[in-house]
Amino acid sequence: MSLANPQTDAEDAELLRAVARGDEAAFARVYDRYAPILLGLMLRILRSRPEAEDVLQEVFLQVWQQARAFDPARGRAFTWLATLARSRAIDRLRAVDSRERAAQRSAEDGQPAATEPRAWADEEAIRSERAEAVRAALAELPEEQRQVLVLAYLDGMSQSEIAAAKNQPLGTVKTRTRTGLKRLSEALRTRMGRQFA
Amino acid sequence: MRHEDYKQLLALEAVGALDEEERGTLLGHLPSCAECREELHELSDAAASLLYTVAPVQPSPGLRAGILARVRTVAPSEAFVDPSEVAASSKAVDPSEALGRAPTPSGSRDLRTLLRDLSLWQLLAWRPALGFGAAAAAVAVVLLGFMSFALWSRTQSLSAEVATLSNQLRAAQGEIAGQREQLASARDVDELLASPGVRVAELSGKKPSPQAHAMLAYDGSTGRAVVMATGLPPCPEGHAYQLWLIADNKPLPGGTFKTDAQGRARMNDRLPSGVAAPTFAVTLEREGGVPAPEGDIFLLGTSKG
Repeated sequence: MSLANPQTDAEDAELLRAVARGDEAAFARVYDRYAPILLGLMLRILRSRPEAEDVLQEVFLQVWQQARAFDPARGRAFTWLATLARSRAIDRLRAVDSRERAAQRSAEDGQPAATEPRAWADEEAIRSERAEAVRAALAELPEEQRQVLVLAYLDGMSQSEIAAAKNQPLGTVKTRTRTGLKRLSEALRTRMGRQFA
Repeated sequence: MRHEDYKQLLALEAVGALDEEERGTLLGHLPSCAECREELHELSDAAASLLYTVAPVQPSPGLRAGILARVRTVAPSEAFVDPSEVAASSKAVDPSEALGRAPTPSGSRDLRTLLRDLSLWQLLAWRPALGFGAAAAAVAVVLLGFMSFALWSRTQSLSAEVATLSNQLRAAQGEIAGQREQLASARDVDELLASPGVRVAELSGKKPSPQAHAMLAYDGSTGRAVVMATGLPPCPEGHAYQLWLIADNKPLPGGTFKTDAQGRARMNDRLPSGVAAPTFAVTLEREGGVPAPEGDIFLLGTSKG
């Protein structure tokens, strides 16, 4: 797995520092780089394009105003953006209609949404390279571990919601989440080294 | 909770699956545990990487222009921290709303509850659309978090300094106590010398130490006395100099004292009162003093007037 591209975590961190100083060009760059992947997550969680784009807008406004709060010592820039976006989307989801959507999600069984990707210049190449690596790392996990991770993180389901949807004991769901995430972390590190995961 | 119990919570926090109580517990542990913080970062990175399994979606073309235009009208990070505005506007808002969580039925929560409900990331995840008051309340909470973390780090670096300083303080306290004692005794001397009935005696060195010399002030009405001696040989181990008031050829015992390295000594004492024209002597005796003189006389003299 080659990550020879200059798009590194250090570069992301530098971009966020520039955004914190009010650098609009750096902000536009962060947007171009991450808006598509974040919108993919928004759509997956909210299943409504207007809502997803509305939340995406909120998230980037928040990035603009809070980039200063990002601390590279406390994690990767991408993790910061992802956490921000995920919690915003889940907040919106719960505000709109939690029950209906939870039922809908569990019916889909944690499969990634079949949204059509579109090319996004050179950022797309790096993104798909990383996506491939993550998929490969994820493929090393047993199916049941992969599922609970996806349902929890990407679909924002609580552990008890997952237990109910999968008809499994809560303790089993928790153990699978723990074991699965640790294995994923190790697999990613083996594949890509510390700079990525 | 043990360290191992906290570690059980890390992965669940990383995928956003902890309930509020568990999250509060973990949040309380993190500032003091570098190992858990490091592991949480790694697991959070792994969780975030799951985003790469979601197909990206190109936002509508107008969205980019709209966000960039909006950003131009909004101050960047700098405006984010203004303590005065935070203080001014944080009152009227339910803080839970500012943090993007559902408001509680009561509409108000104390700060401890609020902090308990937050993850580190959620502390950073407030919603600008809620308006500045809500934002400011969130900022206040974020600042609190940062302050506690900063304080914690600072505490680490300060503890060595504190140890050094407390040693210095102890030394200084010892010195002050010594000086206070000296000052009190000097005040006693001043008072004694100023009292109307005071008599002064000059004591001269006798055979064992002819170079020795002392001045003695004695208030006959109270019996208070102070003796200041120089040129005395250092006391042998287990011995001390003792002051005597001799009235009608009868030596009455006074206090004992030792000299400093230069052979100097000063002692405040209380001798029998009402003795007219007393004679004073200093002998070398057993440490602790004796009721009647046994050792050699080192100093001797009679009060004037």
